Amino acid sequence: MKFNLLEGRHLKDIASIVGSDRISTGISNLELHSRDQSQHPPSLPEAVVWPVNRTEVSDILRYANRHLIPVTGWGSGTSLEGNPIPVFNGLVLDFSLMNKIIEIRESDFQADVEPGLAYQDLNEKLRHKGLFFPPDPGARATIGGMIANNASGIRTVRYGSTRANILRLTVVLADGEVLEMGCRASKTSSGYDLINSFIGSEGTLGIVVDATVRLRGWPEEFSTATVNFGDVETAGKAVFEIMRSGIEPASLELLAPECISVINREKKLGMEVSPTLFIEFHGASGKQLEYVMGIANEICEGLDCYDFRQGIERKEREELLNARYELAEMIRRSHPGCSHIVIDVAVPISAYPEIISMARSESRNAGIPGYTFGHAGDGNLHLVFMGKTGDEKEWDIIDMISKRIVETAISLGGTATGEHGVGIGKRGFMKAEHGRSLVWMKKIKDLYDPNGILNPGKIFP
Amino acid sequence: MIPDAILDKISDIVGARHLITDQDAMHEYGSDATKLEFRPDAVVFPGNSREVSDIMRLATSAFFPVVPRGAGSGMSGGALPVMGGLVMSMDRFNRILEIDQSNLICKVEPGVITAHLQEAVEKVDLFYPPDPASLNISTIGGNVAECAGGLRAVKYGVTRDYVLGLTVVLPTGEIIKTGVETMKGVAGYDLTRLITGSEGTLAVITSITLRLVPKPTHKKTMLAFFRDVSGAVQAVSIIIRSKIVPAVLELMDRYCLDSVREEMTYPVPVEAGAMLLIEVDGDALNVERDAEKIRDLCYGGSALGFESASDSEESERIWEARRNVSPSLNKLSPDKISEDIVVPRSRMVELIAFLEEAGRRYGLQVPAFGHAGDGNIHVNILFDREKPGDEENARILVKELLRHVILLGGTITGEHGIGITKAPYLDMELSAAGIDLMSRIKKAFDPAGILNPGKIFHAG
Ligand SMILES: Cc1cc2nc3c(=O)[nH]c(=O)nc-3n(C[C@H](O)[C@H](O)[C@H](O)COP(=O)(O)OP(=O)(O)OC[C@H]3O[C@@H](n4cnc5c(N)ncnc54)[C@H](O)[C@@H]3O)c2cc1C
Ligand SMILES: Cc1cc2nc3c(=O)[nH]c(=O)nc-3n(C[C@H](O)[C@H](O)[C@H](O)COP(=O)(O)OP(=O)(O)OC[C@H]3O[C@@H](n4cnc5c(N)ncnc54)[C@H](O)[C@@H]3O)c2cc1C
Repeated sequence: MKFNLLEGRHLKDIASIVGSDRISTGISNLELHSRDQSQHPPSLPEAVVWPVNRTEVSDILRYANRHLIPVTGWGSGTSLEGNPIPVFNGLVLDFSLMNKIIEIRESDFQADVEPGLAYQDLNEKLRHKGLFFPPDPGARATIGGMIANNASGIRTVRYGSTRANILRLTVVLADGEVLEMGCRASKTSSGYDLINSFIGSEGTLGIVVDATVRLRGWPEEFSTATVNFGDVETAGKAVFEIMRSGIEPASLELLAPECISVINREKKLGMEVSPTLFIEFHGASGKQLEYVMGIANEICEGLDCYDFRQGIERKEREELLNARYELAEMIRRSHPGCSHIVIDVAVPISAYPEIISMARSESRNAGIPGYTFGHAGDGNLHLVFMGKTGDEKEWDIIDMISKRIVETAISLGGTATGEHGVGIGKRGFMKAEHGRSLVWMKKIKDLYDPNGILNPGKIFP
Repeated sequence: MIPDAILDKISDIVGARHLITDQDAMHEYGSDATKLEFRPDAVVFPGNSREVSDIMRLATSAFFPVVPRGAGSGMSGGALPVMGGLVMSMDRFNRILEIDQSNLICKVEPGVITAHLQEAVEKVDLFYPPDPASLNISTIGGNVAECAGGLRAVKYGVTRDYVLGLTVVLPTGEIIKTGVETMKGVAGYDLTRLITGSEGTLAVITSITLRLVPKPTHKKTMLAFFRDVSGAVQAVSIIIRSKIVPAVLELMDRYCLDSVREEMTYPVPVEAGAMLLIEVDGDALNVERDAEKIRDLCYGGSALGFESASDSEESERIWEARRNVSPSLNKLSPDKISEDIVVPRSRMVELIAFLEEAGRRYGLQVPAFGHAGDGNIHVNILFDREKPGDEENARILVKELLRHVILLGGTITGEHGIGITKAPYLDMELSAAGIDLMSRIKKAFDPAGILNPGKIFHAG
């Protein structure tokens, strides 16, 4: 690539923008910003910078753009596709010092936040106000990283992905220009929808420096259930029928037996080791929740489920949710010496049973341990494959079956990535999924960032 | 003017029957709901994407404007051929291609009338929520191009929230597909939302994949009367804060109420100066419970009276009255400017106070109604062109209003788009950098500038 190496004079100039205490070339800092939570090979940045306001970000970008230095944004580094790995080195902008809640406007159900704020910290602050920011990827993700990846979570089936919960953004473009988009009103049709071009762009079009997020009221009542099935495919069918029935679950998660075993081992929850659905409803009255849970129950009974456990109490609910949030990490811990890859396909909900059965038989036939789970209500399926680190033969097989699963999902009208983003790992599927549209995405990239300094090496094949 | 030789080529593409140039038609297709008129040179009715593509390629090489048109119900002049050229009517793209009941999605052509789609999906117990008050005439293509909202937006969101994917023809003639058929997907940039709301300036939409939701089994329509608008607006805040999300929360001020008072089959308290139209939907239990709670909240506030429709016929009559507000206002004065502003809900009281004060100051009637639940108020500035100074005052008031809206953190258009009527004010809301980026996007998609020229971006 045509990028310039970071030289002493560059470092000095950047230090004069942020102060020398907020730039580092120390190896431990570089290493901390060289990898995310995926198995993609680490790549060291040449320096890490901790900006504290939009002016600094703007000055840095203007400088980097002029000197052709790559710039990659960094939230918490919890991505699963190599999204924040600085593959062309250069600068990493770490937003951990821009982590403030600027303002909460309770009566408008809105908050203004800085990008480095972890969504859990926002929700903690909102707890006693009866409000929350719905997207919940589980890991300690920042709002900036969630906007960049358009992250989802367990509650997305009811409350939408990050995209559905953003009203206004301030973004710094590659040339340092500061752009405000959207407004604090509930909707706008003023000009082109620029906001949505930044959401999900994985930091390749601009750097988010503040955001107005939409909040929701905590429901007055919850109702939680787990239910077991004879096989994973039937659980998938139940998902389809629940979604089709119009009873609007707030969570609908699938856990295959191998996931339950991992959870039981680490959390001692003593769950029945069989294909399980976690179902939750949010609503205003217990009576109404009873009614919708009854429908869910009927659907599952119709599919010969066993042990439909309703009325799960608060404490157990928290335990189950935490286990679900931590599942990916627990799987990894149970395979020392192995690396992993996470499949993140999403398909039309009617094809959910089909993709599950296809993916599981691929994994079985290849003899590779695969863990099936996912945000089933969204048609989003995760499959974690574990392979011995460095075992090239095994990884060739894993890559091959992953590819087959993604291609099958796309042929079913689905997508290579429901929520983790393209990053490094899914670039190879972009052409198959988007055809000619990919050319137009590239045109957008060139238009926003002509020198290609923002998070280079991502999204495009 | 498009030269005859080029018109012949267009005629070869679509067939002579589908290209018209007679003056009556030019009159009809040169106007929309703004009542402004610009005559096109010709109107073409393509029948498929291929034909659209051939026309676009021709337009880019021979350099004539192409203006896509749905039903012409737009309120900001989006479909007006302000620089002449070719109006491209999407009338023949009028098929519902598929209603996929298992995946709750449907595929439609852009010329399908909004209400027709709604009826078709409701027959199979599904629901397409966006419902602009113009739904009996507007097209889905026009809705997508304007990102239309509607009465139910407070609960269900706007058109953008339902568009999953598009097939579009670009000004260069290229046909691309954007988006997904899944409930979520994050692979690459969001071209679907970029084109949604672009007012026919980036691409001609030829097919649309929409998300549907299961049809709510029950609903209840209610009316609450208040002494004045600020009482009504306060009730709106109280209802929302109680965590009930009504499907509809519409406000009418005294002028609007008066204009449809006779059609109301309920006793309207004489001292009522504002009304809320409220609808809740969902399952039977929810609906009853929410309706009761809303009634209590309204009476706990300053409601003078409260009525509930007892059956669907009664509620349809209420709806009829609501839909007639906009047209009925024309009875009050010969001319009007309609604005479509949105402010954060908590600032609505300030907005209303401003409207009353400004109306008094300029001696103009300023009726307001609209989607109070999401802060979207349609403000109508009534005037009489014949009266000296009236029109000028009206224009000054508009400017003041828009400036005020921005100060309150709002937007100058919630759902009608920029078109030509709001183009002069775009820079009040968007920074120069934002407008610049938008115009560069426009240029990348439409290098020759032939697709719906003169819209959004203000010439001078
Ligand atoms: C155990 C586990 C479970 C997970 N579960 C889910 C899940 O359920 N759903 C889901 O969607 N994801 C999930 N993830 C993935 C991940 O948490 C999300 O993608 C999250 O959004 C990443 O946020 P982050 O702050 O860590 O961002 P990072 O990983 O640091 O960065 C993400 C991307 O954002 C860019 N970026 C960061 N800050 C900015 C900024 N200010 N401006 C512009 N670009 C910026 C980076 O360059 C990068 O491309 C999970 C991850 C783990 C480890
Ligand atoms: C009485 C009345 C009430 C209304 N109420 C509402 C309301 O509650 N909410 C609301 O949002 N709007 C409302 N409107 C405004 C209007 O109905 C909407 O903007 C509607 O979406 C326009 O649809 P149309 O088919 O009439 O489009 P047109 O007016 O024909 O065109 C609108 C724009 O869309 C473009 N366009 C049309 N078809 C295509 C296509 N296939 N490809 C690309 N571009 C295309 C045109 O170029 C133009 O820029 C109302 C209008 C009236 C007259």
